[in-house]
Amino acid sequence: MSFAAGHAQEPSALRRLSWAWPSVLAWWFVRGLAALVPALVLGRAAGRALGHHEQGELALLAGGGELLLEALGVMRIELEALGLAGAGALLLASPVLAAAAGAVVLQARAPGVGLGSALGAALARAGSLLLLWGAALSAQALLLLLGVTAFGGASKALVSDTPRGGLVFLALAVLAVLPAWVLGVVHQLARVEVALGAGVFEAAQRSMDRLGRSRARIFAWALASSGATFAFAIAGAAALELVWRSSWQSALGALLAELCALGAVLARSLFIALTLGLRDAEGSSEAGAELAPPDGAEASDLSTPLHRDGGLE
Amino acid sequence: MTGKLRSELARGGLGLALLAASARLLGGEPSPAAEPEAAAWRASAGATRLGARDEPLPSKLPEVPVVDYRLEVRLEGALLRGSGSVVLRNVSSAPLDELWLHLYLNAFEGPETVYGRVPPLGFRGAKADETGSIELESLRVEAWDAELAADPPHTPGEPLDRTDLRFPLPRSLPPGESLRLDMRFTSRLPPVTMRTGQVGDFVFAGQWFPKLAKLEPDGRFAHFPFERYSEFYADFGRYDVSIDVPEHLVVGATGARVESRSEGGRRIDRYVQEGVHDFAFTAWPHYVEQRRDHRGVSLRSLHPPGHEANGARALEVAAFGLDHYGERHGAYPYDTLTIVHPPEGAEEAGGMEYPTLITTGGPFWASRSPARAFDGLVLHELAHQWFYGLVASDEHAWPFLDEGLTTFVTGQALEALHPGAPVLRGTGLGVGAWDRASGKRARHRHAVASPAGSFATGADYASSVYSRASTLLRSIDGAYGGAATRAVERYARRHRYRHPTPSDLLEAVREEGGDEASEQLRLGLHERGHLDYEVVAVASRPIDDAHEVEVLLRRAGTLSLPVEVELRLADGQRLRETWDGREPFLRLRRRTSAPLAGAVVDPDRRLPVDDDRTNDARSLAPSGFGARSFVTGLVASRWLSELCAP
Repeated sequence: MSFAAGHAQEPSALRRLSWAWPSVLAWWFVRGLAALVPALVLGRAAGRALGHHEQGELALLAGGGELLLEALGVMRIELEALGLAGAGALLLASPVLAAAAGAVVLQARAPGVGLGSALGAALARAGSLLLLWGAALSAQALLLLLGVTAFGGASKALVSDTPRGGLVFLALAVLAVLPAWVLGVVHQLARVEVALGAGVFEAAQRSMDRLGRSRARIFAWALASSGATFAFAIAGAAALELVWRSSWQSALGALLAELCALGAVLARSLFIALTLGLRDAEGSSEAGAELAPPDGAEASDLSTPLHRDGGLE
Repeated sequence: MTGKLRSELARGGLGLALLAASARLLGGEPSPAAEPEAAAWRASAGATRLGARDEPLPSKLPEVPVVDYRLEVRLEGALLRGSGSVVLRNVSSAPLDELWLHLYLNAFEGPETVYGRVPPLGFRGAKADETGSIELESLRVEAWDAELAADPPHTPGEPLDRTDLRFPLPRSLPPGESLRLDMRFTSRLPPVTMRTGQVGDFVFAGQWFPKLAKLEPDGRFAHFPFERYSEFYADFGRYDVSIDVPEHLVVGATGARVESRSEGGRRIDRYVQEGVHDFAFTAWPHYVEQRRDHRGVSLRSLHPPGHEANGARALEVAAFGLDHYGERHGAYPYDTLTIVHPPEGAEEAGGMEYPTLITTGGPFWASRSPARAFDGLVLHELAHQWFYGLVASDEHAWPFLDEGLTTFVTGQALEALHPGAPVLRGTGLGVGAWDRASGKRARHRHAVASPAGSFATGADYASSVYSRASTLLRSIDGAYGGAATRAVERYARRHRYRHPTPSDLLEAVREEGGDEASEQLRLGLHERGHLDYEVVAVASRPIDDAHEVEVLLRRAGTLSLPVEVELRLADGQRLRETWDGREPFLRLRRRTSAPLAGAVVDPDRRLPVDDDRTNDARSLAPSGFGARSFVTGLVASRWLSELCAP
């Protein structure tokens, strides 16, 4: 994947990302804060179930996880509370999460934008960002439901219980989740537009147009971003294994897991930076066609100021 | 049979290295093995003398079998047109004035049969919308020139059930005398359900012929209607069955094929087997066949195309199982073993045992799954060749005697096959833990030693007779130094070709573990016995140059198994003692060189029957918060958030 934006004179995606690092960290931090609530419930529940145990919670994994099976039964009520706490925390945190993502857009747009001003501006757009998030999530859930239903019918008709059938099964599974994933890409593109001042519908329209114009590039970036996120998720899960060893390994495992989470936020931020580059390049092309730059002036000079498209002043 | 294991094999996945090169299509039946080396091994395996294995095996079958079936059956779609005879020898001490026949397929005649009225509720089989039947067109005693008729023509007290029929005899059959019954019948197989049936061009014929109920020593017949959770019970005998099928079908059946001929586009295969109490067969044109000879036993795997890895693995595991079980429970005495993997859509025929024929199941990748379910399934059905097959207990009255013992020995075989990771590759989760978790689902609602029809739900039945029974035996093993393992070995050898009861098992446990072990097992099996050991409190205080430590242990429940207690001292020392568990609690006071850090009851987890493992240990410095669980929750919640709010 090339990190260079479409237009030769635009700043590179990595450069944009370097402007946005405070917001990237804020995004990672807010996500951690939201996760803290269910994690505290789980820690408390484990303490209640096995805090008295001579091995403490390490006993959960003794005998290949025998006590884990046991404790899940004992912790049933706490686990229900965990689910509620998780959903509640996510709902409460979602405006800030949406704003943090928006702040990444705004900081990656131009150098020197402070975290406070970017976050403040994004918070002002939080309503629209939240509306976009809710609409996208609902539509994705619906598409996923339809996809899974269609997948069920198709796999019954097309999948045989053979190795070849297994490949068909996988292909159908990919097809089933593909529409929801594409909508996720549109959501990311639209988020950029909303953060820069567009309304939700206008943002959706623009992002669809942009996808139509540069679909190969955008899908390639989105695929790379999703792949990286998935890889970080696997690595994060693997790091959990360390958490259940000795104390220092536990600390190392927690650190690695957090770094993986940061990696995932970076992967998504990089995608935002890339699409911002594309957007600005399109803007400068249009500007170039309508308004020829003065001699010696760079095209990017016309496209980077934050006040374009209703951005920051 | 197990439906549970199979259901753990989910659909989907990819990637199998095909072993098609080793698969041979439609090969001929091998000749019965008679190699001197194989015969010598089988004789020596039967005569192995190791503890309980000094129990002598019956040298051979009775010269005249109790029942001798000679049947011819013609397959026409879902119809089986049968005729032939069965000779019954009155081996009881009383004259016989009646016969009882089971026509099991009549269970599928409608929703009002005894079977049809009971929903699966956690066990195999669909709702009762299947249609199947056996019409007994003629039952005749030629020697007496008498046509027999059922009286009444239905199961007693069940006018809409015809699975258990009484036929009065026109004259008594004295003890020791034999009676030949000629019969003609037409069986209609249901769509595949409850181990039998037909779908498309696939047929699995189980319980397909009119079958004499088991004649007990006192002259009564052990008869019963076909119930949903029940299996079967019959006399040992000889089966000589000619199966007439369209020529393109591949057939697998109980016993060895002794003859095969073609006539007018059809093929007639004749199978003969002695020393068995049932006969089943399957036919399907698409079966792929793999073979292997193992110490004189001809192993044959029949599976759908694409399942070559499953077929090969089934043969491999079966070969292991024949050695493993043979060494412990007496050598497998038959010349053949057929392993059938039903195709997609016929899964209900899978996970079942018949004499010399077992069925497996699962998707094409089942044998490559990290879970050991496929190996476990093969070993489970193979173990049934002993516990049901050779040791023919009443599966209707005492289902735990076949399923529970089979689950117990299957677990041990899996542990031997996959030391350290018998349940799931890469984990140390033990079979005992797995059985224990499954067995706890029934929550002591039923006595394990209950008739199949007395369980409220299929889940209660499976949880009790499979898992809880195995858990109890493992606990007896743990408490009494392997007494259950040795007892099961002794029981299997002593009762080969017999029909033992729970008291025979308890007697074997008494011989191996003593009266107390036998009584504890009896309480567990018959009286819903249960147990929970708990470390209630721990204390430690310095006295002079030493420390006085105190541990309060408590036992709840009706079982009282000896258990080890471990005191863990702050300097790393571990001191062990045994508590006989007879009293409801024990206050253990000791003087130690270092302060106490904590105490654990049953530190080696030898008593899986313990109801609650979370209270088996106590620390002097308890923590109210799980830091590792917290971090795990943090990471998991982060990624969930990443998914839901990108």
